[in-house]
Amino acid sequence: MLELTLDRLTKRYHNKIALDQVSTEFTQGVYGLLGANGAGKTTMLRLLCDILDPTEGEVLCNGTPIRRLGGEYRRLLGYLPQDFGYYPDFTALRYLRYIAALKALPPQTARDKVEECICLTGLKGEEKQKIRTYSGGMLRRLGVAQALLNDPRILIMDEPTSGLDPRERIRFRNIISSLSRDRIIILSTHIVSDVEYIADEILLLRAGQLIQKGTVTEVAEQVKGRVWECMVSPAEAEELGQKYAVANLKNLAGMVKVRIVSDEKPIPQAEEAEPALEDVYLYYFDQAGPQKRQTYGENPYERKENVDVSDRAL
Amino acid sequence: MKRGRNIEPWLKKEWIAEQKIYRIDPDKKEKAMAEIRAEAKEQVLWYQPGLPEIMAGQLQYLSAGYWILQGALLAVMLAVMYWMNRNAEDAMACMAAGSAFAAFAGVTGIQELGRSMAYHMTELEQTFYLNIKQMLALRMILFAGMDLLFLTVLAILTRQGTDWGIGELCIYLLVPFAASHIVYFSVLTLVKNRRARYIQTGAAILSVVISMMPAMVQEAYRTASVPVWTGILVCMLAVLGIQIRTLLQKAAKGELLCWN
Repeated sequence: MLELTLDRLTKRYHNKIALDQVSTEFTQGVYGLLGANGAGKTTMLRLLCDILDPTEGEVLCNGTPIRRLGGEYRRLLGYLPQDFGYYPDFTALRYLRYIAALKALPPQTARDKVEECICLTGLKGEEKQKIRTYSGGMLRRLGVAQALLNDPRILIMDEPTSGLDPRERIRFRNIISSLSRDRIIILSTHIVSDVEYIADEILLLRAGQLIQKGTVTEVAEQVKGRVWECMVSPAEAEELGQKYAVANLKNLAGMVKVRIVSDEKPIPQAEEAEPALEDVYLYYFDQAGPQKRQTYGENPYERKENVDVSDRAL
Repeated sequence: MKRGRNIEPWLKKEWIAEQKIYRIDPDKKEKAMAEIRAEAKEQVLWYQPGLPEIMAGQLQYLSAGYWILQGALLAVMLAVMYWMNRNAEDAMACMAAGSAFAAFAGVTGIQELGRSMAYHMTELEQTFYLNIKQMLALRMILFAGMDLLFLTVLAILTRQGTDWGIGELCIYLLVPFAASHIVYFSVLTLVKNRRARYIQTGAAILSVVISMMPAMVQEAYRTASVPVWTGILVCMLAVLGIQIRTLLQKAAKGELLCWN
Protein backbone atom coordinates (compact mmCIF):
# COMPACT_ATOMS: atom_id res chain seq x y z
CA MET A 1 0.00 0.00 0.00
CA LEU A 2 1.31 3.40 -0.95
CA GLU A 3 2.25 5.75 1.86
CA LEU A 4 3.33 9.36 1.64
CA THR A 5 5.11 10.76 4.67
CA LEU A 6 5.88 14.38 5.41
CA ASP A 7 8.76 14.53 7.82
CA ARG A 8 9.19 17.94 9.50
CA LEU A 9 8.60 19.62 6.20
CA THR A 10 9.55 23.30 6.15
CA LYS A 11 9.65 25.84 3.38
CA ARG A 12 11.09 29.27 3.91
CA TYR A 13 11.05 32.16 1.43
CA HIS A 14 13.54 34.82 2.56
CA ASN A 15 11.91 36.06 5.79
CA LYS A 16 8.63 34.23 5.49
CA ILE A 17 7.96 30.69 6.71
CA ALA A 18 5.40 29.26 4.30
CA LEU A 19 5.35 25.79 5.84
CA ASP A 20 6.57 25.09 9.32
CA GLN A 21 7.71 21.66 10.51
CA VAL A 22 4.73 19.77 9.14
CA SER A 23 4.74 16.03 9.80
CA THR A 24 1.97 13.71 8.74
CA GLU A 25 1.20 10.59 6.71
CA PHE A 26 -1.11 9.92 3.82
CA THR A 27 -2.38 6.50 2.91
CA GLN A 28 -5.22 5.38 0.70
CA GLY A 29 -8.24 7.71 0.86
CA VAL A 30 -9.40 11.27 0.29
CA TYR A 31 -7.78 14.05 2.30
CA GLY A 32 -9.15 17.56 2.46
CA LEU A 33 -6.59 20.26 3.12
CA LEU A 34 -8.36 23.29 4.56
CA GLY A 35 -6.95 26.67 5.28
CA ALA A 36 -7.34 30.35 4.58
CA ASN A 37 -5.45 32.13 1.82
CA GLY A 38 -1.76 32.16 2.63
CA ALA A 39 -2.00 29.24 5.06
CA GLY A 40 0.55 27.21 3.13
CA LYS A 41 -1.74 24.76 1.33
CA THR A 42 -0.34 25.40 -2.14
CA THR A 43 3.22 25.30 -0.84
CA MET A 44 2.56 21.95 0.80
CA LEU A 45 1.06 20.53 -2.39
CA ARG A 46 3.97 21.80 -4.46
CA LEU A 47 6.38 20.14 -2.09
CA LEU A 48 4.40 16.90 -2.37
CA CYS A 49 4.57 17.16 -6.15
CA ASP A 50 8.33 17.74 -6.16
CA ILE A 51 7.87 21.17 -7.71
CA LEU A 52 9.62 22.96 -4.86
CA ASP A 53 12.67 22.03 -2.82
CA PRO A 54 12.00 21.96 0.91
CA THR A 55 14.16 24.14 3.17
CA GLU A 56 14.12 21.45 5.85
CA GLY A 57 12.63 17.99 6.15
CA GLU A 58 11.50 15.80 3.31
CA VAL A 59 8.67 14.01 1.59
CA LEU A 60 8.93 10.23 1.57
CA CYS A 61 7.10 7.78 -0.63
CA ASN A 62 7.10 4.35 1.02
CA GLY A 63 10.13 5.43 3.01
CA THR A 64 12.17 6.76 0.07
CA PRO A 65 12.70 10.51 -0.45
CA ILE A 66 10.81 11.59 -3.53
CA ARG A 67 13.81 13.60 -4.72
CA ARG A 68 15.67 10.34 -5.06
CA LEU A 69 12.80 8.62 -6.87
CA GLY A 70 12.55 11.40 -9.44
CA GLY A 71 10.62 10.34 -12.55
CA GLU A 72 9.45 7.10 -10.95
CA TYR A 73 7.60 9.09 -8.28
CA ARG A 74 6.19 11.51 -10.82
CA ARG A 75 4.76 8.55 -12.76
CA LEU A 76 2.50 7.89 -9.78
CA LEU A 77 1.38 11.49 -9.64
CA GLY A 78 -1.55 13.35 -11.08
CA TYR A 79 -1.62 17.07 -10.34
CA LEU A 80 -4.08 19.84 -10.97
CA PRO A 81 -2.54 23.19 -10.01
CA GLN A 82 -4.53 26.15 -8.82
CA ASP A 83 -3.26 28.17 -11.76
CA PHE A 84 -3.93 25.63 -14.47
CA GLY A 85 -1.96 26.35 -17.61
CA TYR A 86 -2.74 25.33 -21.16
CA TYR A 87 -1.77 26.21 -24.70
CA PRO A 88 -4.80 28.06 -26.08
CA ASP A 89 -4.16 27.12 -29.69
CA PHE A 90 -4.27 23.42 -28.83
CA THR A 91 -7.51 21.48 -29.02
CA ALA A 92 -8.38 19.49 -25.90
CA LEU A 93 -7.53 16.30 -27.75
CA ARG A 94 -4.09 17.52 -28.82
CA TYR A 95 -3.45 18.91 -25.35
CA LEU A 96 -4.26 15.61 -23.66
CA ARG A 97 -2.12 13.70 -26.16
CA TYR A 98 0.71 16.12 -25.46
CA ILE A 99 0.35 15.56 -21.72
CA ALA A 100 0.16 11.79 -22.28
CA ALA A 101 3.44 11.93 -24.20
CA LEU A 102 5.11 13.88 -21.39
CA LYS A 103 3.79 11.37 -18.88
CA ALA A 104 5.54 8.62 -20.88
CA LEU A 105 2.40 6.67 -21.67
CA PRO A 106 2.79 4.05 -24.42
CA PRO A 107 1.14 5.31 -27.63
CA GLN A 108 -1.80 2.89 -27.67
CA THR A 109 -2.42 3.35 -23.92
CA ALA A 110 -2.25 7.11 -24.43
CA ARG A 111 -4.96 7.00 -27.09
CA ASP A 112 -7.20 4.83 -24.93
CA LYS A 113 -6.67 6.86 -21.77
CA VAL A 114 -7.28 10.16 -23.56
CA GLU A 115 -10.59 8.84 -24.84
CA GLU A 116 -11.49 7.48 -21.42
CA CYS A 117 -10.67 10.71 -19.58
CA ILE A 118 -12.58 12.80 -22.10
CA CYS A 119 -15.66 10.67 -21.48
CA LEU A 120 -15.17 10.61 -17.71
CA THR A 121 -14.99 14.39 -17.46
CA GLY A 122 -17.89 15.03 -19.81
CA LEU A 123 -15.84 16.62 -22.58
CA LYS A 124 -17.01 14.24 -25.27
CA GLY A 125 -18.08 16.24 -28.28
CA GLU A 126 -15.98 19.26 -27.26
CA GLU A 127 -12.55 17.66 -27.53
CA LYS A 128 -11.80 19.02 -31.00
CA GLN A 129 -12.50 22.62 -30.05
CA LYS A 130 -9.64 24.94 -29.26
CA ILE A 131 -9.09 25.30 -25.53
CA ARG A 132 -9.34 29.08 -25.79
CA THR A 133 -13.07 28.66 -26.49
CA TYR A 134 -13.67 26.70 -23.28
CA SER A 135 -15.66 28.03 -20.33
CA GLY A 136 -14.24 28.00 -16.80
CA GLY A 137 -16.01 24.77 -15.95
CA MET A 138 -14.78 23.04 -19.08
CA LEU A 139 -11.23 24.16 -18.36
CA ARG A 140 -11.38 22.67 -14.92
CA ARG A 141 -12.71 19.43 -16.34
CA LEU A 142 -9.85 19.43 -18.81
CA GLY A 143 -7.52 19.93 -15.88
CA VAL A 144 -9.03 16.94 -14.10
CA ALA A 145 -8.77 14.89 -17.31
CA GLN A 146 -5.04 15.57 -17.70
CA ALA A 147 -4.44 14.71 -14.05
CA LEU A 148 -6.08 11.31 -14.54
CA LEU A 149 -4.35 10.32 -17.78
CA ASN A 150 -1.64 8.20 -16.19
CA ASP A 151 -4.10 6.54 -13.77
CA PRO A 152 -2.23 8.12 -10.85
CA ARG A 153 -1.89 6.45 -7.49
CA ILE A 154 -1.46 9.91 -5.94
CA LEU A 155 -3.89 12.58 -7.06
CA ILE A 156 -3.26 16.11 -5.87
CA MET A 157 -5.61 18.96 -6.67
CA ASP A 158 -5.21 22.56 -5.63
CA GLU A 159 -8.49 24.46 -5.38
CA PRO A 160 -10.06 22.21 -8.00
CA THR A 161 -13.52 23.71 -7.86
CA SER A 162 -12.66 27.40 -7.84
CA GLY A 163 -14.86 29.22 -10.28
CA LEU A 164 -17.23 26.32 -10.77
CA ASP A 165 -20.99 26.52 -10.41
CA PRO A 166 -22.80 24.14 -8.01
CA ARG A 167 -23.63 21.65 -10.74
CA GLU A 168 -19.96 21.43 -11.78
CA ARG A 169 -18.95 21.11 -8.15
CA ILE A 170 -21.25 18.17 -7.66
CA ARG A 171 -19.99 16.54 -10.85
CA PHE A 172 -16.43 17.02 -9.64
CA ARG A 173 -17.22 15.51 -6.21
CA ASN A 174 -18.76 12.50 -7.88
CA ILE A 175 -15.71 11.98 -10.06
CA ILE A 176 -13.41 12.15 -7.06
CA SER A 177 -15.57 9.77 -5.04
CA SER A 178 -15.52 7.25 -7.85
CA LEU A 179 -11.72 7.44 -7.97
CA SER A 180 -10.96 7.28 -4.27
CA ARG A 181 -10.45 3.54 -4.07
CA ASP A 182 -6.74 2.46 -4.01
CA ARG A 183 -5.51 6.01 -4.32
CA ILE A 184 -4.24 8.84 -2.21
CA ILE A 185 -6.29 11.90 -3.12
CA ILE A 186 -5.38 15.25 -1.58
CA LEU A 187 -7.66 18.19 -2.24
CA SER A 188 -6.78 21.66 -1.12
CA THR A 189 -9.59 24.14 -0.79
CA HIS A 190 -11.02 26.90 1.28
CA ILE A 191 -14.53 25.87 0.29
CA VAL A 192 -15.61 23.54 3.06
CA SER A 193 -18.47 21.87 1.25
CA ASP A 194 -16.08 20.58 -1.43
CA VAL A 195 -14.53 18.16 1.03
CA GLU A 196 -17.08 17.80 3.78
CA TYR A 197 -18.94 14.97 2.11
CA ILE A 198 -16.14 13.07 0.43
CA ALA A 199 -13.04 13.48 2.58
CA ASP A 200 -11.95 10.63 4.80
CA GLU A 201 -9.70 12.98 6.73
CA ILE A 202 -9.41 16.72 7.09
CA LEU A 203 -6.17 18.61 7.65
CA LEU A 204 -6.31 22.17 8.89
CA LEU A 205 -3.41 24.37 7.96
CA ARG A 206 -2.83 27.82 9.41
CA ALA A 207 0.20 30.05 9.05
CA GLY A 208 2.18 27.12 7.70
CA GLN A 209 1.39 24.85 10.63
CA LEU A 210 -0.77 21.76 10.73
CA ILE A 211 -3.17 22.49 13.56
CA GLN A 212 -5.68 19.69 13.22
CA LYS A 213 -5.97 16.35 11.52
CA GLY A 214 -8.80 13.84 11.72
CA THR A 215 -12.09 12.72 10.28
CA VAL A 216 -14.81 15.32 9.78
CA THR A 217 -16.46 14.12 12.99
CA GLU A 218 -13.24 14.22 15.01
CA VAL A 219 -12.36 17.68 13.76
CA ALA A 220 -15.87 19.00 14.34
CA GLU A 221 -15.77 17.52 17.85
CA GLN A 222 -12.97 19.99 18.68
CA VAL A 223 -15.42 22.86 18.53
CA LYS A 224 -18.25 21.11 20.34
CA GLY A 225 -19.67 23.49 22.89
CA ARG A 226 -18.46 26.49 20.90
CA VAL A 227 -21.23 26.77 18.33
CA TRP A 228 -24.37 28.67 19.31
CA GLU A 229 -27.67 29.56 17.73
CA CYS A 230 -30.10 32.23 18.78
CA MET A 231 -33.02 34.29 17.51
CA VAL A 232 -32.41 38.04 17.93
CA SER A 233 -33.57 41.33 16.53
CA PRO A 234 -31.73 42.72 13.50
CA ALA A 235 -30.04 45.37 15.68
CA GLU A 236 -28.85 42.73 18.13
CA ALA A 237 -27.67 40.59 15.23
CA GLU A 238 -25.56 43.42 13.98
CA GLU A 239 -24.10 43.92 17.44
CA LEU A 240 -23.29 40.24 17.75
CA GLY A 241 -21.70 40.29 14.31
CA GLN A 242 -19.26 42.92 15.49
CA LYS A 243 -18.29 41.02 18.59
CA TYR A 244 -18.31 37.37 17.49
CA ALA A 245 -17.64 35.16 14.47
CA VAL A 246 -20.99 34.69 12.78
CA ALA A 247 -21.32 31.47 10.77
CA ASN A 248 -24.79 32.20 9.40
CA LEU A 249 -27.51 34.83 9.46
CA LYS A 250 -31.05 34.09 8.40
CA ASN A 251 -34.01 36.46 8.41
CA LEU A 252 -37.16 34.87 9.80
CA ALA A 253 -40.33 36.90 10.14
CA GLY A 254 -38.68 40.06 11.38
CA MET A 255 -36.17 38.30 13.59
CA VAL A 256 -32.75 36.99 12.72
CA LYS A 257 -31.49 33.49 13.39
CA VAL A 258 -27.81 33.80 14.14
CA ARG A 259 -25.26 31.01 14.29
CA ILE A 260 -22.16 32.03 16.22
CA VAL A 261 -18.81 30.37 16.82
CA SER A 262 -17.38 31.41 20.15
CA ASP A 263 -15.69 29.94 23.22
CA GLU A 264 -18.23 31.66 25.45
CA LYS A 265 -22.00 31.79 25.22
CA PRO A 266 -22.69 35.05 23.35
CA ILE A 267 -26.06 35.82 24.96
CA PRO A 268 -28.00 34.00 27.68
CA GLN A 269 -30.72 32.75 25.32
CA ALA A 270 -28.25 31.22 22.87
CA GLU A 271 -28.47 27.44 22.50
CA GLU A 272 -25.61 25.09 21.78
CA ALA A 273 -25.69 23.78 18.22
CA GLU A 274 -24.14 20.72 16.60
CA PRO A 275 -20.88 21.83 15.02
CA ALA A 276 -20.25 21.43 11.32
CA LEU A 277 -17.03 21.62 9.39
CA GLU A 278 -17.75 25.17 8.38
CA ASP A 279 -17.91 26.13 12.05
CA VAL A 280 -14.50 24.54 12.56
CA TYR A 281 -13.14 26.58 9.66
CA LEU A 282 -14.53 29.76 11.10
CA TYR A 283 -13.29 28.95 14.58
CA TYR A 284 -9.71 28.44 13.46
CA PHE A 285 -9.47 30.86 10.56
CA ASP A 286 -11.58 33.83 11.45
CA GLN A 287 -9.11 36.70 11.34
CA ALA A 288 -11.18 39.44 12.97
CA GLY A 289 -9.76 41.86 15.54
CA PRO A 290 -7.61 41.28 18.61
CA GLN A 291 -10.65 40.75 20.86
CA LYS A 292 -11.57 37.66 18.93
CA ARG A 293 -8.00 36.40 18.79
CA GLN A 294 -7.90 36.62 22.55
CA THR A 295 -11.09 34.60 22.69
CA TYR A 296 -9.27 31.86 20.82
CA GLY A 297 -6.03 32.02 22.72
CA GLU A 298 -2.40 32.74 21.86
CA ASN A 299 -1.00 34.42 18.80
CA PRO A 300 -1.47 31.82 16.09
CA TYR A 301 1.56 33.11 14.12
CA GLU A 302 4.02 32.38 16.86
CA ARG A 303 6.22 29.48 15.86
CA LYS A 304 5.85 26.47 18.15
CA GLU A 305 8.08 23.44 18.41
CA ASN A 306 6.68 19.90 18.56
CA VAL A 307 3.05 20.90 18.23
CA ASP A 308 0.70 18.03 18.96
CA VAL A 309 -1.61 18.17 16.00
CA SER A 310 -4.38 16.39 17.82
CA ASP A 311 -4.82 19.40 20.11
CA ARG A 312 -6.13 22.74 19.17
CA ALA A 313 -2.91 24.71 18.72
CA LEU A 314 -3.97 28.08 20.00
CA MET B 1 26.23 -58.38 -23.87
CA LYS B 2 23.00 -60.09 -24.40
CA ARG B 3 22.38 -60.23 -20.71
CA GLY B 4 22.40 -56.37 -20.54
CA ARG B 5 19.93 -56.21 -23.35
CA ASN B 6 17.67 -58.70 -21.64
CA ILE B 7 17.77 -56.86 -18.32
CA GLU B 8 16.82 -53.47 -19.75
CA PRO B 9 13.18 -54.12 -20.59
CA TRP B 10 12.80 -55.89 -17.23
CA LEU B 11 14.33 -52.96 -15.38
CA LYS B 12 12.16 -50.57 -17.28
CA LYS B 13 9.01 -52.46 -16.32
CA GLU B 14 10.05 -52.59 -12.67
CA TRP B 15 10.93 -48.99 -12.73
CA ILE B 16 7.61 -47.98 -14.21
CA ALA B 17 5.73 -50.09 -11.70
CA GLU B 18 7.61 -48.52 -8.84
CA GLN B 19 6.88 -44.99 -9.99
CA LYS B 20 4.02 -43.38 -8.15
CA ILE B 21 1.55 -41.90 -10.46
CA TYR B 22 1.34 -38.23 -9.60
CA ARG B 23 -2.15 -36.93 -9.85
CA ILE B 24 -2.63 -33.18 -10.15
CA ASP B 25 -4.79 -31.78 -7.37
CA PRO B 26 -7.04 -29.24 -9.12
CA ASP B 27 -7.66 -27.21 -5.93
CA LYS B 28 -3.99 -26.88 -5.17
CA LYS B 29 -3.32 -26.02 -8.77
CA GLU B 30 -5.96 -23.30 -8.78
CA LYS B 31 -4.65 -21.87 -5.52
CA ALA B 32 -1.08 -21.81 -6.86
CA MET B 33 -2.23 -20.18 -10.10
CA ALA B 34 -4.21 -17.55 -8.18
CA GLU B 35 -1.10 -16.68 -6.15
CA ILE B 36 0.95 -16.41 -9.30
CA ARG B 37 -1.66 -14.17 -10.91
CA ALA B 38 -1.76 -11.92 -7.83
CA GLU B 39 2.03 -11.63 -7.83
CA ALA B 40 2.08 -10.89 -11.54
CA LYS B 41 -0.57 -8.22 -11.08
CA GLU B 42 1.52 -6.55 -8.39
CA GLN B 43 4.45 -6.28 -10.74
CA VAL B 44 4.48 -2.87 -12.30
CA LEU B 45 5.85 -2.78 -15.79
CA TRP B 46 6.84 0.72 -16.69
CA TYR B 47 7.06 1.87 -20.23
CA GLN B 48 10.39 3.58 -20.82
CA PRO B 49 10.37 5.72 -23.94
CA GLY B 50 13.71 5.91 -25.71
CA LEU B 51 15.46 9.17 -26.52
CA PRO B 52 14.42 9.14 -30.21
CA GLU B 53 10.80 8.72 -29.19
CA ILE B 54 11.05 11.53 -26.65
CA MET B 55 12.68 13.82 -29.22
CA ALA B 56 10.04 12.94 -31.80
CA GLY B 57 7.37 13.78 -29.24
CA GLN B 58 8.96 17.14 -28.51
CA LEU B 59 9.15 17.93 -32.22
CA GLN B 60 5.57 16.86 -32.78
CA TYR B 61 4.21 19.29 -30.24
CA LEU B 62 6.21 22.39 -31.10
CA SER B 63 3.90 25.21 -31.96
CA ALA B 64 2.92 25.90 -35.54
CA GLY B 65 4.20 29.42 -35.00
CA TYR B 66 7.71 28.12 -34.45
CA TRP B 67 7.78 26.20 -37.73
CA ILE B 68 6.23 29.06 -39.68
CA LEU B 69 8.67 31.59 -38.26
CA GLN B 70 11.63 29.32 -38.77
CA GLY B 71 10.58 28.60 -42.33
CA ALA B 72 9.98 32.28 -43.04
CA LEU B 73 13.38 33.19 -41.60
CA LEU B 74 15.06 30.55 -43.73
CA ALA B 75 13.25 31.72 -46.86
CA VAL B 76 14.12 35.36 -46.23
CA MET B 77 17.73 34.45 -45.49
CA LEU B 78 18.05 32.44 -48.70
CA ALA B 79 16.48 35.21 -50.75
CA VAL B 80 18.54 38.03 -49.21
CA MET B 81 21.88 36.22 -49.32
CA TYR B 82 21.25 35.06 -52.88
CA TRP B 83 20.48 38.62 -53.94
CA MET B 84 23.51 39.99 -52.08
CA ASN B 85 25.85 37.44 -53.62
CA ARG B 86 24.68 38.49 -57.04
CA ASN B 87 24.43 42.23 -56.57
CA ALA B 88 26.49 43.38 -53.61
CA GLU B 89 29.92 44.67 -54.54
CA ASP B 90 31.28 44.83 -51.04
CA ALA B 91 32.00 41.67 -49.03
CA MET B 92 31.34 43.63 -45.86
CA ALA B 93 27.72 44.07 -46.86
CA CYS B 94 27.42 40.28 -47.16
CA MET B 95 29.10 39.93 -43.81
CA ALA B 96 26.73 42.43 -42.19
CA ALA B 97 23.73 40.60 -43.59
CA GLY B 98 25.11 37.23 -42.51
CA SER B 99 25.79 38.55 -38.99
CA ALA B 100 22.26 39.94 -38.77
CA PHE B 101 20.75 36.59 -39.69
CA ALA B 102 23.07 34.77 -37.29
CA ALA B 103 21.97 37.10 -34.49
CA PHE B 104 18.30 36.60 -35.31
CA ALA B 105 18.56 32.85 -35.79
CA GLY B 106 17.92 31.82 -32.20
CA VAL B 107 14.93 34.00 -31.35
CA THR B 108 12.30 31.50 -32.51
CA GLY B 109 13.88 28.78 -30.37
CA ILE B 110 14.01 31.04 -27.33
CA GLN B 111 10.38 32.03 -27.75
CA GLU B 112 9.45 28.38 -27.95
CA LEU B 113 11.57 27.69 -24.88
CA GLY B 114 9.71 30.37 -22.98
CA ARG B 115 6.33 29.17 -24.14
CA SER B 116 5.75 27.06 -21.02
CA MET B 117 6.33 30.10 -18.86
CA ALA B 118 4.19 32.32 -21.04
CA TYR B 119 1.19 30.01 -20.69
CA HIS B 120 1.59 29.01 -17.03
CA MET B 121 2.47 25.45 -17.98
CA THR B 122 5.77 25.13 -16.10
CA GLU B 123 4.25 24.19 -12.76
CA LEU B 124 2.24 21.39 -14.35
CA GLU B 125 5.03 20.21 -16.65
CA GLN B 126 7.38 19.89 -13.68
CA THR B 127 5.20 17.06 -12.35
CA PHE B 128 5.47 14.83 -15.42
CA TYR B 129 7.82 11.95 -16.02
CA LEU B 130 10.06 14.36 -17.90
CA ASN B 131 10.35 17.36 -15.65
CA ILE B 132 11.00 20.94 -16.72
CA LYS B 133 14.75 20.67 -16.39
CA GLN B 134 14.83 17.64 -18.70
CA MET B 135 12.38 19.20 -21.15
CA LEU B 136 14.34 22.44 -21.30
CA ALA B 137 17.55 20.50 -21.91
CA LEU B 138 15.93 18.41 -24.68
CA ARG B 139 14.41 21.43 -26.35
CA MET B 140 17.68 23.34 -26.19
CA ILE B 141 19.42 20.43 -27.90
CA LEU B 142 16.71 20.34 -30.59
CA PHE B 143 16.80 24.07 -31.21
CA ALA B 144 20.60 24.12 -31.15
CA GLY B 145 20.57 21.46 -33.85
CA MET B 146 18.17 23.44 -35.98
CA ASP B 147 20.11 26.64 -35.43
CA LEU B 148 23.34 24.91 -36.41
CA LEU B 149 21.72 23.72 -39.63
CA PHE B 150 20.56 27.25 -40.25
CA LEU B 151 24.05 28.60 -39.56
CA THR B 152 25.60 26.01 -41.86
CA VAL B 153 23.41 27.14 -44.76
CA LEU B 154 24.12 30.76 -43.85
CA ALA B 155 27.87 30.16 -43.76
CA ILE B 156 27.81 28.48 -47.18
CA LEU B 157 25.79 31.32 -48.71
CA THR B 158 27.88 34.06 -47.06
CA ARG B 159 31.09 32.45 -48.26
CA GLN B 160 29.92 32.72 -51.82
CA GLY B 161 29.92 36.49 -51.53
CA THR B 162 33.20 36.82 -49.60
CA ASP B 163 36.79 35.68 -49.72
CA TRP B 164 37.17 34.30 -46.23
CA GLY B 165 37.82 30.67 -45.43
CA ILE B 166 34.97 28.61 -44.05
CA GLY B 167 36.57 28.30 -40.60
CA GLU B 168 37.14 32.04 -40.32
CA LEU B 169 33.61 32.72 -41.53
CA CYS B 170 32.14 30.33 -38.95
CA ILE B 171 33.86 32.28 -36.18
CA TYR B 172 32.58 35.61 -37.55
CA LEU B 173 29.03 34.23 -37.63
CA LEU B 174 29.16 32.35 -34.33
CA VAL B 175 30.11 35.49 -32.37
CA PRO B 176 26.86 37.40 -33.11
CA PHE B 177 24.97 34.11 -32.70
CA ALA B 178 26.43 33.54 -29.22
CA ALA B 179 26.09 37.20 -28.24
CA SER B 180 22.43 37.30 -29.19
CA HIS B 181 21.79 34.11 -27.20
CA ILE B 182 23.36 35.67 -24.12
CA VAL B 183 20.84 38.49 -24.49
CA TYR B 184 17.96 36.05 -25.11
CA PHE B 185 18.75 33.93 -22.07
CA SER B 186 19.01 37.07 -19.95
CA VAL B 187 15.47 38.10 -20.86
CA LEU B 188 13.98 34.60 -20.96
CA THR B 189 12.74 34.64 -17.38
CA LEU B 190 12.37 38.38 -17.03
CA VAL B 191 8.66 38.33 -17.67
CA LYS B 192 6.62 35.17 -17.24
CA ASN B 193 3.60 35.92 -19.36
CA ARG B 194 2.69 36.42 -23.01
CA ARG B 195 4.34 39.84 -23.07
CA ALA B 196 7.63 37.95 -22.91
CA ARG B 197 7.46 37.43 -26.68
CA TYR B 198 7.57 41.15 -27.31
CA ILE B 199 10.53 41.57 -25.02
CA GLN B 200 12.35 38.69 -26.71
CA THR B 201 11.59 40.10 -30.16
CA GLY B 202 12.84 43.50 -29.03
CA ALA B 203 16.00 41.86 -27.75
CA ALA B 204 16.39 40.12 -31.11
CA ILE B 205 16.12 43.38 -33.04
CA LEU B 206 18.64 45.02 -30.74
CA SER B 207 21.01 42.07 -31.21
CA VAL B 208 20.65 42.32 -34.99
CA VAL B 209 21.53 46.02 -34.98
CA ILE B 210 24.57 45.48 -32.76
CA SER B 211 25.74 42.49 -34.80
CA MET B 212 25.94 44.60 -37.94
CA MET B 213 28.23 47.19 -36.35
CA PRO B 214 31.57 45.36 -36.76
CA ALA B 215 30.90 45.33 -40.50
CA MET B 216 31.33 49.10 -40.47
CA VAL B 217 34.96 48.63 -39.46
CA GLN B 218 37.04 47.12 -42.28
CA GLU B 219 39.84 46.07 -39.91
CA ALA B 220 37.49 44.00 -37.82
CA TYR B 221 37.49 41.23 -40.39
CA ARG B 222 41.19 41.06 -41.16
CA THR B 223 42.88 37.69 -40.69
CA ALA B 224 44.97 39.19 -37.90
CA SER B 225 41.75 39.76 -35.95
CA VAL B 226 40.75 36.09 -35.98
CA PRO B 227 42.44 35.31 -32.62
CA VAL B 228 40.52 38.21 -31.07
CA TRP B 229 37.26 36.93 -32.49
CA THR B 230 38.11 33.45 -31.28
CA GLY B 231 38.84 34.74 -27.79
CA ILE B 232 35.56 36.67 -27.73
CA LEU B 233 33.70 33.58 -28.94
CA VAL B 234 35.22 31.39 -26.22
CA CYS B 235 34.27 33.95 -23.52
CA MET B 236 30.76 34.20 -24.88
CA LEU B 237 30.35 30.45 -24.98
CA ALA B 238 31.52 30.28 -21.37
CA VAL B 239 28.96 32.92 -20.35
CA LEU B 240 26.29 31.06 -22.29
CA GLY B 241 27.22 27.82 -20.55
CA ILE B 242 26.89 29.50 -17.15
CA GLN B 243 23.51 30.97 -18.12
CA ILE B 244 22.18 27.61 -19.24
CA ARG B 245 23.46 25.92 -16.11
CA THR B 246 21.84 28.58 -13.91
CA LEU B 247 18.56 28.26 -15.78
CA LEU B 248 18.49 24.50 -15.32
CA GLN B 249 19.40 24.82 -11.64
CA LYS B 250 16.62 27.34 -11.12
CA ALA B 251 14.22 24.99 -12.87
CA ALA B 252 15.24 22.16 -10.54
CA LYS B 253 14.76 24.30 -7.42
CA GLY B 254 11.27 25.32 -8.39
CA GLU B 255 11.09 29.02 -7.72
CA LEU B 256 11.39 29.69 -11.45
CA LEU B 257 8.26 27.67 -12.09
CA CYS B 258 5.75 29.05 -9.67
CA TRP B 259 3.87 32.23 -10.10
CA ASN B 260 2.99 32.89 -6.50
